[in-house]
Amino acid sequence: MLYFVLDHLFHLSIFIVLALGLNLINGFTGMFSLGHHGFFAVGAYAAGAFILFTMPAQAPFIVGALWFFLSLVVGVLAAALFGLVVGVPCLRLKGDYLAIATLGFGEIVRIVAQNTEAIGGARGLEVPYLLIKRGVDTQITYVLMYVVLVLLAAGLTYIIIFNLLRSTHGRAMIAIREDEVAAELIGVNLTRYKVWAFMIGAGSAGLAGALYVNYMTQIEPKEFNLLKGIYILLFVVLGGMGSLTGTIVAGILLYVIDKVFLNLMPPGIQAWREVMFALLLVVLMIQRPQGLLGNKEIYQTARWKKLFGRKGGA
Amino acid sequence: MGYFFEQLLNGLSLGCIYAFIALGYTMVYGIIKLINFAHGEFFMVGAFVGYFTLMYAGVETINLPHPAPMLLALMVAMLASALASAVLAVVTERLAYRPLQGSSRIAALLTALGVSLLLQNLGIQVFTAEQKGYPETREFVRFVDAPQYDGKTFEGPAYVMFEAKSATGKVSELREIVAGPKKKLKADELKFFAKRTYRGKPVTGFYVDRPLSTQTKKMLIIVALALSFGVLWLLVHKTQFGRAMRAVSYNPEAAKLMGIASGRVISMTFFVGAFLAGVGGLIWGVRYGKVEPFMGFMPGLKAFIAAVIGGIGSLPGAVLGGILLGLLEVLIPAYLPSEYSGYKDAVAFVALIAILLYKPSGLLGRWEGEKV
Repeated sequence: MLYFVLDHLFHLSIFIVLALGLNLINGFTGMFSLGHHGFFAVGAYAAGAFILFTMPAQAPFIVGALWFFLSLVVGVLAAALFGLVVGVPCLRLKGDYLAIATLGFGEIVRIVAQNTEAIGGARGLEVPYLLIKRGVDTQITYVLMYVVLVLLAAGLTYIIIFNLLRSTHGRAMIAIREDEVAAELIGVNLTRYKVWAFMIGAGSAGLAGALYVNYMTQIEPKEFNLLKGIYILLFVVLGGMGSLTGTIVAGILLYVIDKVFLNLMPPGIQAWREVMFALLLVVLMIQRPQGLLGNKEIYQTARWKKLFGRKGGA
Repeated sequence: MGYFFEQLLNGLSLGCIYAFIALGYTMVYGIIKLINFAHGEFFMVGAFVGYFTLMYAGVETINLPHPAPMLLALMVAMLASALASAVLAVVTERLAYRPLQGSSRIAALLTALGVSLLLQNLGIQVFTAEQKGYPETREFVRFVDAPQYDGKTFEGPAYVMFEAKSATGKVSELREIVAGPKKKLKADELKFFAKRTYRGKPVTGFYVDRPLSTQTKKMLIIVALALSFGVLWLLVHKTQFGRAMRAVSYNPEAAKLMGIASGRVISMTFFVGAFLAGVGGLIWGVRYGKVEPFMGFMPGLKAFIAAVIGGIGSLPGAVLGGILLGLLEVLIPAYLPSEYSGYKDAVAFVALIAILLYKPSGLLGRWEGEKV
């Protein structure tokens, strides 16, 4: 039971890392990307391929650990590089066109992974266990360790984006979201900041991908489909575009509803899970297009201040 | 050369189906600036309604000389699928898109994605997820006419449809093959079926599959697109409704001030666009022989790409883009070594990115300058 809870926690945290990165691109810089699952896939495949091709056989534990951290670095760098590759040509596009182009990039990644035999083709990629093996007796330790690692990754992503947004660079990105033409007029370098946003968002997705491949040890191209991209986007939109804490709250809410609540329902209702999920998206967009928190953080909302705020404070 | 023409025709017919979907995409985008992701699902619903009409409506049983009932069945199925998807589109627009007027583009786009997912999954619930084989065109031979076929063989299977009640009282539909390419028809055996019922009516004859050749199908697709595009062009350029539609697309505010009921015009645009998608759905089913609830998503996406390539908002552009995309998608893999055939789906996306970078307004589109 504990194992299942931890396993779900791992997947949820992976999604949160992905959604935080996507929020930087979509929510704060205002570029509508539909290809985040592509960055995730690039990170996972780059890390996986790195382990598969360079890892010495019969390595002692310390080498395994070293390779594990190197694979994370490779995943981040590969995804960020891919973000650059996608970002530069897509800069000329806006709104709907950008969405479709990024969607196209995401699909191309999946199709290439599916057709490249060196990384497993449609069968998928398999990597060895690097840190500890996932046996019957060690599975709790295994999953617990990865939960801690991915929570650290989520924390790191949050801190980086949080601090970025309070810097000159972050303000510039928000200015681009608010009004691109005006931002350019006051001297914001559109190209540079858009590419930076893409690269940081993609890099965090790469980190998530590298952790994911190490945890799962087996990935298939068809996992990285558009549906996954929409799922990540849903976290961002439900929480509010431009609200980091909103993403986290919405992510937990959505994941719990999706996985836990619906799994307890009788199978007759479970069959309608996808229908209800899509319906939720439509109703949400019509009733509350700004998401749960809009572009405020949770501690900036009136209710939070009333509950936890200092008396007489600001 | 034979191979080239074969592939050319394949590409053209695929491109024409894309064009059927792309026309609706481009009309809707032209008028409310929304990528209606659900358009591919209208196409899917059209294909399914066509399937059920061909299977169960029994248009073939009309008493007319041979090819007429068969063609009539196709026409009725086409009309049914077109109307079904058009009505669905109008309802979708009313319930999901109209409340979003004036909200952000991203909210509208996400709603469209949500509606697309919703219809796909509803499709699974209603039609089940498994693939269905599209029925071939068929002839209905009455038992009274059966003696003249006695002892003859048929090119396709000849079969009787009837229902049987099991011991538990469950009624199931059965399909009994009575003759075929190798099996001669024995008219005496048919008497056994004459006492049976099918869908509550007595069985009066048997069906003979008369499949259209692939070549004929491809030709028909091209003719159907040419006709539909002609009618659509007249509708848009020569009627009051068409003028209203162009006005709303050009400037919705000014159109409203001129007394155009823009809400009704938008509804009608959805109706016309999805009508064409429904026709496309039936054609897809007849051409490729298979339907399933997810069938709409990829062709829908590619049709949108086709619309972008041709220049979004332009009707001839949608046709041009669709045909171009169909040709690229068939001809490129046809001349590459077979291990690259898996990249077929990537062709469209590469073409999209290329056109967006090189000429974002598309081949025939207008570029509207950016306003502060």
